[in-house]
Amino acid sequence: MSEHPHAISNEWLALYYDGELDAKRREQVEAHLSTCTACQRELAALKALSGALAVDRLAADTLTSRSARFAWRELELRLPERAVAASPLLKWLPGMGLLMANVMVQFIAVVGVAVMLVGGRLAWIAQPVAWLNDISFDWLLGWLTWLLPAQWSGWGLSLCLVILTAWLAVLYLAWLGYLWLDHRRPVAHLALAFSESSAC
Amino acid sequence: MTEIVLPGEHDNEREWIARAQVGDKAAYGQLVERYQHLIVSVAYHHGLDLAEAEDAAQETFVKAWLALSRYRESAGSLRAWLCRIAINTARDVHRRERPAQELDEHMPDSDHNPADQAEAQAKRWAVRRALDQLPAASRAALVLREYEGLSYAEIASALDIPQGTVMSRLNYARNRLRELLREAGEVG
Repeated sequence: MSEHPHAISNEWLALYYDGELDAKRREQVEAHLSTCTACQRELAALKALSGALAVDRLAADTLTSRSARFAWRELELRLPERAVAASPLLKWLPGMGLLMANVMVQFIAVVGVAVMLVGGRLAWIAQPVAWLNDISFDWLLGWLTWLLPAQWSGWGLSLCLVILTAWLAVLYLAWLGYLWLDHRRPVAHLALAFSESSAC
Repeated sequence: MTEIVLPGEHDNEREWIARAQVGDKAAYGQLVERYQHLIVSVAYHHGLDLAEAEDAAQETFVKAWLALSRYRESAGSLRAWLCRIAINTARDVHRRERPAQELDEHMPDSDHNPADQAEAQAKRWAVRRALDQLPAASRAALVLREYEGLSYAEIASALDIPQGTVMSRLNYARNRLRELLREAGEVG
């Protein structure tokens, strides 16, 4: 298309023709078109090109009139069954549960042991803070004592918590690994992903 | 001006997509019915005859079914996403299966006499030959705009390019096509 030294460029005309201009610019183009024969010719050329291309347009009834092959039944048979995807909440629930359990056990281990030790020492110095020691054993670590031999000390409890934390961490990493394996696509999916990404 | 129709805005397409994404074939069937003409047309205008385009469309819908769980509306409309798969599939089919062939005799129009049909066939030939001579990237943009009525935003989404590039490719394709059709005597 020929270039023309106007306020309205070819690009604007194409945008106008394709319905991509906002109302204000559309009005500007229309105002210009009403007086400019060169732009009128350009617009007519765009329309003529669309008209020429239209001879190769597939009619709306092409498929229904001719294409018995393109039946949904046939296509449906080619569709592989697909496992119902779990909801995002269910998908993340195990991992989040493991993570939160890990955080909670770490919290109990660190805070519980700290309170136990500090509270125990302070109890000799100042009676008013002795209740920290009770809280430590009764609420934070005490619940574990019935699981363990009676002779185990507070250090034994903390060791137990550290091992539990490590196991939870291992389980969490295993879950992440499972998730990664689950996301690896079969060959067909990889080919499709490549096909999608190579669109230009 | 080509009227742009945006399917899915006023009906239950979102529901069909959501159901199809969790394996509901009946819902997917609704989507196939809606877009099968579009997809056949996209494949057809990428150098395939009608029978090949229908096969490519089936392949497209199987691929789309397999990938549908990864489709997100935020990345673009479903029809743009389907067009993207269809274009790649059509190119694959074209490369894989199509030696130079005679033009498909689709849509014989019984309302017209043989002379009119021959003239229409000749025009179709000229258009298809001209389209074949366009670079693939420009051709894709032009087909999606002129034949399928996609907006620039949808074309950008389908071809994974910026809207400015859509504009420049369309501009180039139209200019080049006019030259080619003028040489063939189809436009003035």
